[in-house]
Amino acid sequence: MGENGGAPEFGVEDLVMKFRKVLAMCFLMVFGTFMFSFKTAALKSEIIVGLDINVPPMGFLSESNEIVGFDIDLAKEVFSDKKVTFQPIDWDAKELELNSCKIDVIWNGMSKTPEREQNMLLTRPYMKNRQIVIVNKNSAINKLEDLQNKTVCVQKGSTGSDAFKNHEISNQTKNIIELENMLNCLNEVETLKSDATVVDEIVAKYYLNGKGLSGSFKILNQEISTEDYVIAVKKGNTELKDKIERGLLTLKESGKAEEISQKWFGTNLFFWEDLELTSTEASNTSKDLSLKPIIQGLWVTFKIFLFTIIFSIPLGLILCVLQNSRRKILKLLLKIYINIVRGTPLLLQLFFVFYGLPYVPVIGGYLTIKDRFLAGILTFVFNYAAYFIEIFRSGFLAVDKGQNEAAQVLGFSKTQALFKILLPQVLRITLPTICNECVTLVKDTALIFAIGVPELLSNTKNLVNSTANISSYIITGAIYLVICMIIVQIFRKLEIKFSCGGKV
Amino acid sequence: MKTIETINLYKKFGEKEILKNINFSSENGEIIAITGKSGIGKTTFLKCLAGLEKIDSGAIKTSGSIGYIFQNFNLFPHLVVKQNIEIPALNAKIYDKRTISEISEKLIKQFKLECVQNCYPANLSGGQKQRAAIARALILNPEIILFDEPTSSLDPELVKELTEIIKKLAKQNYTILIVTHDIEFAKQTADRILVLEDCKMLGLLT
Ligand SMILES: Nc1ncnc2c1ncn2[C@@H]1O[C@H](COP(=O)(O)OP(=O)(O)OP(=O)(O)O)[C@@H](O)[C@H]1O
Ligand SMILES: [Mg+2]
Repeated sequence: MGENGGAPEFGVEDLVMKFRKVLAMCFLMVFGTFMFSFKTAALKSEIIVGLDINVPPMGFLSESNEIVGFDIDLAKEVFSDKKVTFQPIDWDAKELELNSCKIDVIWNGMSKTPEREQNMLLTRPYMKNRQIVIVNKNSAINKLEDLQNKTVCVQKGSTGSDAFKNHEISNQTKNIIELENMLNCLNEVETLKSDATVVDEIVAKYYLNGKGLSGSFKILNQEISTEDYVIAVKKGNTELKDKIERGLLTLKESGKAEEISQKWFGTNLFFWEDLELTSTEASNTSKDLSLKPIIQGLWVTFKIFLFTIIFSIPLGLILCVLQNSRRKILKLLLKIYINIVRGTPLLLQLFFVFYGLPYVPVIGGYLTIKDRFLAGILTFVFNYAAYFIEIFRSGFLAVDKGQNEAAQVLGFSKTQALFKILLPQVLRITLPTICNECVTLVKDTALIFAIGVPELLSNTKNLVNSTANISSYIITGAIYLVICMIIVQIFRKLEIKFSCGGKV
Repeated sequence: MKTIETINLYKKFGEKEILKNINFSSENGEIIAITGKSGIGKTTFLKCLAGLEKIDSGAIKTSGSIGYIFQNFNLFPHLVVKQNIEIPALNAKIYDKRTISEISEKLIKQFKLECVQNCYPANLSGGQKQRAAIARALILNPEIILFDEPTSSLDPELVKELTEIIKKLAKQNYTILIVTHDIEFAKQTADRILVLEDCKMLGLLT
């Protein structure tokens, strides 16, 4: 640990400092290239249809790993003269995919919203999806008013759930139960645990048809709400839009559309109004770039980072010290914990903590964390703590055994030796590794979006998608870069401060 | 007066016997050197005396506390020399802070550490480190001081100085045990030289 020990003092650090601006430039250039690398639309004989493959029955992966579905069958018919490729996409990036010509069409049971109408060119509706009320076949409920003082279950986060809560009748029900998926809802109604459920007509009919359960239920005539399903192409691509609309009209007239619908739903849900084919394009107002989502996201990201660091480092340290104790069971438990956390993706852990814990047998009910942010923070803290345990363990191993012996002969108690001799050295030794973890954490925070907490990156992505302006990526990239640079600088200062005359 | 005494001290690592029924004793103010082949168990013997290694059978009697100067000193790298010297006393709370500071200043003067008292161990020379380690061992006022290979990192000049220091300490009635390979140094310093061989302690004339 002498001052002049080891390699010659080559000024690598100075070099990095000197070329920091250059490095930043490189960074921006990479982004720039990416920005302009989007190809312009080319007339093609190949059509790429983008879809989220998690939406049965519209488009999904079959058991034989093929993309199938109602929309898939329709699209194949409409583009029968072309080569069609079905491209799974990230649903949140659909506008970007379209605008950057990575795909030509979005055809995926997409409902029509004013926002989508502004960002893309939409066809006329080809289906109406209604949010319907389903009751047990023996139920006395026949109209919406009958839901008074009844128990209604909905699928958490679904259109049906939102629509029902906005509907006045929801105030008069006894209670509303939110369940993870629609099958659970139907099951509740079948077993009379709930009196009714509000679900998407299309999805419900698909399931009931597929499982031959239509007879067990009754569907109310009144719907809670409706939405139109449309197909989207890139703005300005009226040619393609017209082709699709003409194609759908032909399918309707030939009866092919009804046939496909029968196949998937056991009834005809295809719906096409014979209007004059007019291509109305919403005025192309390019929105100003607002930094508000970025700032809000930054604040969330910052909170995640801060909470995680504040809790995971002490937790890691405490558990590391406990690991040195002689209690075998404790040691074993910690070992299992570390191995699980380090051996599985953080993303999976996030999913598990938020979505999976309630399903743990017996105690699941007590483990449910309703708050997404809290669930995320807890996952991050326990994930990073596991790494910190190992980091600190390596730190303890790196402290000379003689230090402990010296403390012992000098009459230190075990606690005194730990706090006054070992810990200061462990922290000093592990500073560079802790810095590394912090920098990694800054970027890992983005994963929390997986459980629905909007943060810096996801907000940026949404901003880019809605404004079709890539510059937000550059801003956010620069923000991450600056945060990481600040962290590195802080740790360098700390390292110098605690170098104790040794080599920094 | 006997300051340290071992009765049938027995120590093994696993199946390997290191010390077999060692009977050893020292008098007040005596300087004893212990030599022996490398790996024979000298350090182990010192560690047993200091309570750093558990013994398998036998007994160790000491009349007072023990100071230990390690072969590589084991100064605390995150503390400056003055803190290194003071921390054992601060922990033990035998005196108030003021008194401890006064005592440490005296030791710093005694061992000529004034100019490095605010330096970290990483910035000390071998001799300075050794003197700091001795000063640190003395602050708890032990009766017995154990040295493990004290001359291994010193040049002849400093070895001479160390002999002086040790002799001075013996005059102050400290009992001193030195483990060393340096026979010349042992002859210069010790009243008695012992050889550790075949797990036994053999006497040797000076
Ligand atoms: N913790 C331990 N576990 C097992 N064996 C050990 C341990 N410490 C020392 N030994 C063994 O005990 C024997 C004596 O070691 P010790 O360090 O006492 O030798 P030494 O006489 O001081 O040697 P040197 O002169 O080289 O310092 C050696 O053979 C060593 O390998
Ligand atoms: Mg030794």
